Amino acid sequence: MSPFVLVLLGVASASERVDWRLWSWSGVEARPSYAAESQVRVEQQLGLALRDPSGLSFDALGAVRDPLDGAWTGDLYRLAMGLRGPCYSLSLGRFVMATERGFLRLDGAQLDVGLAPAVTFHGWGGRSWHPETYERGEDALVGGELRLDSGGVLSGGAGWEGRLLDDEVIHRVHGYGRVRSVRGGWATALIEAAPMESSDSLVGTSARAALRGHSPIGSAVELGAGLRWEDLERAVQPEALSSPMDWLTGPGYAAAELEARADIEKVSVSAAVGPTHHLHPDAPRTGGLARVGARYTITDGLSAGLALTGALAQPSWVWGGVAEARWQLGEASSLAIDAGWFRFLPMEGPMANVVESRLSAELPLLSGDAGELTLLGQVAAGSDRLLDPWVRGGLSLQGVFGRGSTP
Amino acid sequence: MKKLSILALLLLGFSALADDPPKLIDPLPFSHKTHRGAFRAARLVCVDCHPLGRTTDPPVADMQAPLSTCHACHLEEIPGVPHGASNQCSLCHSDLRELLPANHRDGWREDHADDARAAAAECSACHSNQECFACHDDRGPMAKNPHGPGFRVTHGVEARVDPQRCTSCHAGESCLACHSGGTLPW
Repeated sequence: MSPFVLVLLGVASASERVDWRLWSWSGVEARPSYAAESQVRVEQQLGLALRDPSGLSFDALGAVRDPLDGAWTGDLYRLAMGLRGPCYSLSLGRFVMATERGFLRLDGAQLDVGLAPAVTFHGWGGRSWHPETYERGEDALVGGELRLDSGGVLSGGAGWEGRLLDDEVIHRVHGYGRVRSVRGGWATALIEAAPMESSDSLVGTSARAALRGHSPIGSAVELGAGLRWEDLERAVQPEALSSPMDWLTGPGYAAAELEARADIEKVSVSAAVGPTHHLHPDAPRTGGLARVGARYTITDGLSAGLALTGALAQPSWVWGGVAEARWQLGEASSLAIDAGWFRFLPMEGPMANVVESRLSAELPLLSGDAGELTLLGQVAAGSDRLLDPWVRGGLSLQGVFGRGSTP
Repeated sequence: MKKLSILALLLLGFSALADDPPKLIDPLPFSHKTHRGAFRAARLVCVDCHPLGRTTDPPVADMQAPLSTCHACHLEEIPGVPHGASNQCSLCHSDLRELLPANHRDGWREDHADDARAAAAECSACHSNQECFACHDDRGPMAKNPHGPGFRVTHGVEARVDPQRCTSCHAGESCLACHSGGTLPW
């Protein structure tokens, strides 16, 4: 434990004014199998956040897990200290940075400086890392952004980021704007671009752009629509890592989104479609997603729903549905069961029927001003597309304790 | 400036209260005696909370402080108010489900990203950034799976339809964990 934490913990215990939050998650999960080896894993996550009124803060979050094969692993998601003043904030260490382009995980520093009442400079630098692969970027990245936000109807920003990779700097620029209505509607635009270079010449620009809008219609209906062009990896992971986009798309694709939702008394219905068109030079293809769902509130706390899903990506497709029931017992206890059936045509192999079902429960053990302790459990079973049965289940205990404002 | 902010908050509070107000613990656990120090530190005087003749909608008796004033300190909606006021909603609200915004309906966990970016300030009334990261970065095996039932079946096709949606959380290596090694990651 670093001396900084010891000092802050000492201050926390001595001062009535330090906010703190301790978060713990313990879980065990088993996957028994007749045909293969059964598997069990245990995991413990622990987090601590401290906030001092002077502006000092500390955040740590880590996990250890054991797949019970003798190889314990540990992960450190956050270990950062912060300093906040009247017109600036500074974070140092391992932390997560929320940006318009996504969540960027950094080992490094970020600085926000208020330049004027509605103008903020946001700068960052360090190495990015990925919480799933635990890969850390080999080379440094640095970036800056000017943000305009008066807290009113219009806001926006523009910035640049450079990443060093194999002694070359990869540049990216981005800009975004938002408009909001007082009735709850909003529209956003984002563009991010990076030049593509081949040996010593510029051969083009790779870009992603998105336009989205959302608006309530009356008090019961919401509509949303969006258009995207995707030809650039998101800058949220180390440059050297591959992404699903590397493998699953060619030179880029266009996507549209349209969704609607209506809540009328005890019935809630929603529908969404999302066609996409991939511009692969050899085999351009059109596909899409579609979802329709309905939920009916039977009594206070008891509801049932049905959701149908379909997806097409030539030459494979899948469609099916899930029925679900939820029972909310009091404020925190709940019980939910769902069962789904899908018909699936894989890229290779015969058409298959796939079924699965889950039973989930949540039970508060302690609840009060000082914190909460909750027991969660889930059992799931089903068949895969080769009709092999599977079952898995687990229990977890989640505790959140603290004092003061939410850190 | 602080007083103007409180006035604006009161007016917003009144408009919000035009619908059915949430149920509160009765009697409300408020005491002038225990708040005296905090009010003094924030340099608040009686008329900052008690409207005393101002036109409000819905109308309240002159000496009755609108309940929305509580949030000025307890949700830190006013810069400069004393630090340390508890933000536990259950201090005054008897049914926390009433406090859920209308857009927090079924499926909200899967669909909240765009709203969170477009209206981050509204999220921060109840949530901190750390809550975003608690799900977006942690890898708890059961409690925080953001995908709905059936996703194990549908994700292959969905990923090929719109792979960029996967990229915000997953690297390509996570596909390989199952699809090339033949074993699920544990």
